[in-house]
Amino acid sequence: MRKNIVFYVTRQYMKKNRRRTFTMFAGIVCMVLLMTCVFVGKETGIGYLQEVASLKKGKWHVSMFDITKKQYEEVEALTWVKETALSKTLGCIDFAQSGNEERPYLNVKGYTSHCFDWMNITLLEGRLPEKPGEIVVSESARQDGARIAAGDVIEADFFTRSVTGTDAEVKETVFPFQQLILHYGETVEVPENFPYYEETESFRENKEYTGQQGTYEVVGFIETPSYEDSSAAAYTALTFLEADILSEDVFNLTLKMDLDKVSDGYFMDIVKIAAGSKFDTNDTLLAFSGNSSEMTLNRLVRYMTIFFVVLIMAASVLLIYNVFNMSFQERSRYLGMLCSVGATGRQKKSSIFYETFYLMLFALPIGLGLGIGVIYVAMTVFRPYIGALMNMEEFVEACPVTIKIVPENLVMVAAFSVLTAVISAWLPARKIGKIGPVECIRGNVEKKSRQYKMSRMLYRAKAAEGMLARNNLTRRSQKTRSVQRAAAVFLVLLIVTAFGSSAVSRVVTLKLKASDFTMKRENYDYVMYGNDDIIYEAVKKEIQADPGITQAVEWGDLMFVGEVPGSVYSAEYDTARRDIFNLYYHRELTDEEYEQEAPTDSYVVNFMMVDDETLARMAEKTGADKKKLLDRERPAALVLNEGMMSTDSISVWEREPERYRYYRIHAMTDLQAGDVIPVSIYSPKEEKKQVMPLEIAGLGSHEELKDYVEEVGANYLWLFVNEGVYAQIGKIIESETGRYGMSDRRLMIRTNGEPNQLIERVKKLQDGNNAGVLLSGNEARMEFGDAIQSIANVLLISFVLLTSVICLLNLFNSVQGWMTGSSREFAVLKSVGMSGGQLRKMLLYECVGIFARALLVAGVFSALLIYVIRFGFHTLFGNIVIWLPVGLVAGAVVLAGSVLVGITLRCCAKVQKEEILENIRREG
Amino acid sequence: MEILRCENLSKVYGAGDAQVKALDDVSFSVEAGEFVSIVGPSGSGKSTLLHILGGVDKPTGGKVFIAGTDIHALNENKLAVFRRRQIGLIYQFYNLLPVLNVDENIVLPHLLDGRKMDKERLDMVVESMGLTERRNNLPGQLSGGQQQRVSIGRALFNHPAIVLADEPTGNLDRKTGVEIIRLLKESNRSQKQTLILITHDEGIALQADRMLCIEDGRITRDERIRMRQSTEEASNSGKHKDEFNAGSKGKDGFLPKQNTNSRGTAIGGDRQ
Repeated sequence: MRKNIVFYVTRQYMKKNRRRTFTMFAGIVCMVLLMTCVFVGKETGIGYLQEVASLKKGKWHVSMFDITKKQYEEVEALTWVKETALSKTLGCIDFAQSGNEERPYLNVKGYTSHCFDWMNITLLEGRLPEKPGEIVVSESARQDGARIAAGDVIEADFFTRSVTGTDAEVKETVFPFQQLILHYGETVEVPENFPYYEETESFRENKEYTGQQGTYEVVGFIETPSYEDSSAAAYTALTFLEADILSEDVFNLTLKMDLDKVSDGYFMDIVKIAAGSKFDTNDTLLAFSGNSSEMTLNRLVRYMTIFFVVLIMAASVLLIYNVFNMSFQERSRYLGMLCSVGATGRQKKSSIFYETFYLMLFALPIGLGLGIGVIYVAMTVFRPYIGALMNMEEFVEACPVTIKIVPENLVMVAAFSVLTAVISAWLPARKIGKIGPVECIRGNVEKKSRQYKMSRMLYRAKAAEGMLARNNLTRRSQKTRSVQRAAAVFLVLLIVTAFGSSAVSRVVTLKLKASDFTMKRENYDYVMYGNDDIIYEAVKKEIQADPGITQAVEWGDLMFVGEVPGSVYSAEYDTARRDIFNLYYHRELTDEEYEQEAPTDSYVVNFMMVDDETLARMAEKTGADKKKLLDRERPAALVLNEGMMSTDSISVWEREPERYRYYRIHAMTDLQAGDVIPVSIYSPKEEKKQVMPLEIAGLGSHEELKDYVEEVGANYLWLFVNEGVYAQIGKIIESETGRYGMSDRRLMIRTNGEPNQLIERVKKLQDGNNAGVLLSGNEARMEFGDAIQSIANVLLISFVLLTSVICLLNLFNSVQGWMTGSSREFAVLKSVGMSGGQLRKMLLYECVGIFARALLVAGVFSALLIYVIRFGFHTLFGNIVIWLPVGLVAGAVVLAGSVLVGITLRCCAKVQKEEILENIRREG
Repeated sequence: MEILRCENLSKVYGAGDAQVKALDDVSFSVEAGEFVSIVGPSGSGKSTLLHILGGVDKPTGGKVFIAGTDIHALNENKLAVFRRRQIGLIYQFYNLLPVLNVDENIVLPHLLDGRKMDKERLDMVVESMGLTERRNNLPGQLSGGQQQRVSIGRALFNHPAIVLADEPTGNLDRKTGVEIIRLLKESNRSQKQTLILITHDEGIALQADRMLCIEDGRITRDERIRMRQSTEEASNSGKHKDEFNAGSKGKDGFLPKQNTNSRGTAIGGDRQ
């Protein structure tokens, strides 16, 4: 067999330098592992979330109800529709075998074959229906004691259910859970989940037989479907539906999307085709399927993937490059020898690539295996956490973790790993390829002929150790360059990730809570809202008198009650608003069109009433005129002058925006303190608008009001007023039937921390359906947005930790290389009388110098990357304010510095243990 | 006066069958101001002995007393301080710090001691080593001979009790080697600087006051070549000393300013 001598020598060299080879190997394994985590992990994670989400509602994406054959054909013609399934509610039949008198019916539905799978129909006994005369019954029927078994036959006479209002004195009967309002004398068809009521005083239930009859054989029992309501009068029964359903008038259609083809506009396609018919989207599943009405989430997943891949590649490139660079002298010597006996530049280069790919050959499967292991462990560990975050604990428990390995992802892992290796090896290979044999053997590739003067001042200031450290750093900087580079990469990674996390977190917050305007309530233990003014006032009095309550102040808001001329809002606001309309219309609207679609003559303003004490503090923070602000007679307001607007917070009927866009409004109004806002308030009593001149007592920014207002912002002007002004407005909007606009009062309650009986009583009060008040604790309420944000944060932290492993490896290897390369010099220094303490001090000085340089380099690169990230986010989402998390960055700097010093001192201690003579002789 | 005494020194490398005795029960003493050469074949234990004497290697057994101090009984830090003050080491491969210029390399032990910079002495040493023009250069920019002169300057700068030179001419051409030996001899004579030098070159060895032969880790011959001159004799005998005194302006005695190059041949001739 012909032996390639260059490769053979390279292998021998690798064997000789086991530690260095191992570091590089470990680096490549880490890189492949992380790539696997990104690609396979993403697929597995999202796949898992999809599985969990599909357990909740099913595997379908969109359901359309009561559609016609024509509509069905239109849906089928859509390019993004992958598969469709049909179903039909056949109606109710009497269920004589029922063991529960409150559930005397079966609600029979017909499914085509796909539906059984998509609707999560789980067979518990028997088999699924295969022809129209067969039926499966919900297990809930048997659990309630129904006398039924497989093989039984049910005679069906279908009917529809309705209710009629029978009590003339009851104007309307509300069924809140069925969203049904029944008026006297009216007959309304009831939904599937309607309970069974025997005739009551106020309404009567009707059965209307459709004439459709049939005989059904029970062939099995199914797990109670998620859509079956336990309070409904009917149990679910499913039969097989044949395709001839298409000839019938109306039926239900369920579809799955082709996720590769579906675009942002799918929702509008559905709206158009549905044309008034009801439809439903499986939002949770869609959110995790990479397509949902929340397209930003999908973008976020994509950006996070890109962010991680770039991060891993950068860290890996530097690790591999550093390993090559550190061994450059040594390597150039043996390659120089080969060169002197005839090896070409290309052969020398190939040695570097050979080493990389030789290691890659083993690292790739190991990294993949380890990556899959890490994913499995991480998924298993995070599973309960995910369940809790998504409020889907029971589904998470029922869904085991399965690693989803898609060949394309494995190809991506391999491709990115190979690309990283090629990039990392290319520079040193090019450098080595260019050097001649004599330079290589002599090892004097980078010799300078500069002269250096001795700095006595430095000696006086920092003694010999300081002088030596300075000389090491300035006169042979290439020796510590790899350490500097490794420290800089570590810093850049930490700083950029801190910023990236902040940016991602911010986008998720803004995206998911875009139209929220909330007051901060952390300082209070409970908030009591009033549904019924009389009960609210009564409870408020009790609370205010309770000795266990240390503070109870009242806040209130009035939304959409005030209007101001368009000129009150700033030009910045108007530009942003117009941009949003342009996005909805997918083109630039003309002035006339804009005026027609979004009149600018008057805009809404909202009011927030806060207690005098809080208002006074807010005035102090913003420099507003406190006296005016607290004056109960002359209306004045503190204006929250910052706001936001996005395609989420403003919507246009039946239109989808071109893309998501966020606008931060720096000044909602151009008016100044002392100016008067003419607020028009509609008086229902007088049936006309009344103008209330409201003086601006001051204007505040989010930063100034951060202790009181949640940062997410608002897309209308918010005016903070005192109780007196609030009452004045309240009087205007009052009518006999209630108040015009949206008004809400709340009592902010702070307790003395002891268990409070009154609070417990109020809590019990709200257990009833018609609670006059609603008491909300201060415990964290996890919403969908919070969950997504938490998952994104967990992912970011995990990846930073994993990528830090590469960086630490790089730093450790660089420091070790530095120490090994300097061991002879250390020995010489010791031989001329340098003590261990002096050596440590010298190295600490060097660490400070290296770190200062690394910080400088990292500062420049981080700033550049932060700029790019910020630019990217601004381009994609809008002018979102993304703060640099200073605390995190400072922490990162301290961490990187400590790690550098720690590793250096550890390596130094190791070097000190070595024999002086051994090291002196090393190269002599 | 005895400046160095070693008692029953032994050094063993390896264990079991692979055990090698580099030094085997070596005992001798050296008087202050004595110039001792150590000769012997390769692998005889010369360098090991020198390094043990210099405190950079540890003996397996035995003791080394320099100026009355048992150096291997000192802890690491005290030994380092002792080395910087009392021992001057000269290596075959110079072992200069590549990041320090000539001045800095020479004053290094002095600086490590935290003492105030003695500029006059530095100028004198640099001048006497013929390195005035090269004092701001890094070792990599010097020739082998120049590097060895820096190394000698470093060894002598702190007035050590003893200078140990491990084949200082081994890496140099003959002419430069002669020059280096002359510098060392001068320091020995003019400064009463105790000098122990390892060499393979019999010609150099014979210039010493005393010659030790080592074979297989044992001293096989301890031969006095010539009687040492007293200080008075030394100061009156040599022309060099007169020249040095003139060059040093009556201060601390050191080597003549420019005899190195101009007198190289003559000195060589002397040696012969």
